[in-house]
Amino acid sequence: MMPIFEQLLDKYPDSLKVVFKHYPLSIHDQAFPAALASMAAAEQGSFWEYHDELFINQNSLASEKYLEIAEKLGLDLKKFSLDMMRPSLRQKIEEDAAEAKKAGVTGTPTIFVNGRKLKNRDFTAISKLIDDELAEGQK
Amino acid sequence: MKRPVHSALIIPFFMLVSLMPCAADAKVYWEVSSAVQLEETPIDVAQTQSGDLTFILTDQAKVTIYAVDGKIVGTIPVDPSVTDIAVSAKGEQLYLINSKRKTLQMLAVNFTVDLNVADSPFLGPAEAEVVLVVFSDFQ
Repeated sequence: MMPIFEQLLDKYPDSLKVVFKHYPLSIHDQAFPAALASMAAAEQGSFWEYHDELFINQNSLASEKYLEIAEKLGLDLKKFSLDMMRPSLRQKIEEDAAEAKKAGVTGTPTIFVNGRKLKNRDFTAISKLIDDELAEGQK
Repeated sequence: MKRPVHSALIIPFFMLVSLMPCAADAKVYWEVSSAVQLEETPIDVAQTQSGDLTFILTDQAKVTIYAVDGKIVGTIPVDPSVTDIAVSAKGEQLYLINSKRKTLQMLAVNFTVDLNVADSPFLGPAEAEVVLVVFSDFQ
């Protein structure tokens, strides 16, 4: 989805914010550790870079891979490892997942635009919804 | 010739009958669970399976949706000739029935949700007018 988000951010540089929230599916055994690793990277201001690396390495996720990516991005490895164990980061991910369930999310990725759940996730459909929201805001 | 009746069949049937409430002994208890002062004359009412949403068709060609606390969630304008309504279990489908014209119209009903985006990683301006939230995992 990132290429589409980047296109959308290029198209709406002043009026669009893209927010990432975690919904680690329980059927994916590395989903939660990967989410923790991304949040540990976020503590060092590198969430999105780490996010991209996780998707590149989607098929080889494992505890050693998280450290390898952190090292590749030049993160402080000691802090990264400690942050991965922080209860507050785990809690944040669990809160995101609980909110997702409450909002009717059943799979990933699920996208909301100003609280409206998208059925069609292509660039044109999302653009149209953003245009509608912007037009609504001008009324 | 009479066929012998196996006792194993009689006992469960007897137990079933004895567990059923007898109409003569049945008692009904009730209490007012909620009451709403409507601004328009109601024509028909329908409720989701969980009871959390109540749809009321009014004589002003509207279906007003109430939450369980009596607050209006939204209003949908409908054709003035609609005579009855029904909703699916979760309220995502609204059925508009016109018994005179013998028509049935189905509406897909969507609800916006409030999502907490504080402390979540984002791209784009912090105060953007449109907020796209993606729930995702990395595996």
